[in-house]
Amino acid sequence: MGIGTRRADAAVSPLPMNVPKYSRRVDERLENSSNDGNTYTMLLLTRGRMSDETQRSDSTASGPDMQRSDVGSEYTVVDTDCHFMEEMDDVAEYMDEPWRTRLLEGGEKATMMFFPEGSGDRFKWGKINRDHSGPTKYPHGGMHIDEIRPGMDHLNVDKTIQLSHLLLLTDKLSADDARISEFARGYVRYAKDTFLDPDDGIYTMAPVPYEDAEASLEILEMVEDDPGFVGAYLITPGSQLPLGNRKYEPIYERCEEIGMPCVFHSAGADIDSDNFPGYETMLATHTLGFLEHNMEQLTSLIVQGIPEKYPDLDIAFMECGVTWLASYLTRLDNNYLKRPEEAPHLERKPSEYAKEMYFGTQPFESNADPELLEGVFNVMDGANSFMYSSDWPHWDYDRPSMVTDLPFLSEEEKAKVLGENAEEVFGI
Amino acid sequence: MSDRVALGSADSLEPGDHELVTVDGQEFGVHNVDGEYFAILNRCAHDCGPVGEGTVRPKLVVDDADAGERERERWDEDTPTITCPWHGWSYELESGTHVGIDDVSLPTRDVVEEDGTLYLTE
Repeated sequence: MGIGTRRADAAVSPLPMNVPKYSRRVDERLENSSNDGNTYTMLLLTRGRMSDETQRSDSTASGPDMQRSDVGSEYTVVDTDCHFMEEMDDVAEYMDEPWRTRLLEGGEKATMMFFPEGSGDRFKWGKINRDHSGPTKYPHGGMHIDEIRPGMDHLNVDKTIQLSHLLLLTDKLSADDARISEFARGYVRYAKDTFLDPDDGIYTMAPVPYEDAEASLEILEMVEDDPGFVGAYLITPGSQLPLGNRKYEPIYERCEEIGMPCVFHSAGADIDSDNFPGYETMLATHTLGFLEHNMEQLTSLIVQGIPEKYPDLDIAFMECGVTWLASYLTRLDNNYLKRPEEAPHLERKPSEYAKEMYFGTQPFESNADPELLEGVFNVMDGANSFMYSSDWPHWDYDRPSMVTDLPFLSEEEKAKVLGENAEEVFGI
Repeated sequence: MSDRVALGSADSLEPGDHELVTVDGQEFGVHNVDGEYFAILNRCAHDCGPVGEGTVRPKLVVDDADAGERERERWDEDTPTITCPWHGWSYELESGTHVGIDDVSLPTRDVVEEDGTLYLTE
């Protein structure tokens, strides 16, 4: 053997090119293996994540063949929230003047400072690695369109909805700022001209500069007949007013008319976020922020009656997991029952409207007690309303294993969460 | 597994180097950390990621401080850790224990040098 041929500081490929086949037999054996009764350990064991002495004695139980499993290959998998780490330089080529000249002639500093960024390193100061973008240029892009397909292969997904990464930085503008609408127009043209390939399962959504209703409607018009654009993409932090406000209704009205789902995506949550002054770690701000932003906008949409006003509008939320839904909606229902006159549009409990919405699974709380997860699926009708999402290539991405490993879902239910729900919502 | 498996020449695994070895169907990341050898299973407990190829750094610890004083973080150079490059789960290299919780750990193996050859042992 060739000890010493590889150095520890060498780049680690996150894209194993020889992905072995998932071994269901291993899982069955592990379910019968001994454990210490700890729920968390038990879940890991049943999911084939842990290696114990029982496995060690079996030459096939924990070797490389089950380590890089291509889980999900028996299903049609749709990734409803994958990120394209576009370069501002590339999008600038498609922007209107004067921004095109400003950005292209302004050099790296001009493009890096077009949208503000927060502090903190999502990649754990160099310890989480991706082959592209993250370690060196995050959050300012750095991904080439040729890297979409290897990412899909790594995740083992059949269809991917690539969402603009740079739009996630616009929460800090928090105003009716032309930069967002100018970027959105440029992104639409760029996506159409470069990476969209619906015949090969590569889609995106239209970035919506929702503070500017006129620009938002213009962008929807740019994409409504293009099969590569399958949704309207609104970020949940940074709105001047809660997104259930009447100010934003023209956007929902138009989306309902053209059958375009509205997808609300969390973002922000940097250490120095205005929401969390004084916090010093991303552990704290990322945990709080991604949840808080979606919680705020879900509350606003329901309380202001958006699902009643636009009953045919499909609404989805992305990127704050699923376990919060059961507890939060129980609380919202509790208050609604005491104060229904403050939400006169509603004819049912708020949770009933939420159950008719859709939720991306990432970051899926696989660490949770399985009974808790099963309860959330039951309460939210998760088999019909949750959609697998990866968030690749971001730091906390999920593979389809987060769904395939769930012991309480039937094969039919896994197929729905992994792909069928998304195929129906997005018409793909 | 056999009591002892020869890995190769110790000279070829210099400080900072690592190598993947498969023994009895299990893949381990073997690391030379400043002349001390470690071997940890190359499969993260979280999602099967290639933790054995991860970044090795000392464990970060914090010293107690008086109430109201800022605590000082420092590296514990005697406790190397390894981090899975996929999602960041981190383990102490020697014990295999997750840095954040005690009830998740990865199998580790002792690596000994004898007459210039490295051996993986139980």
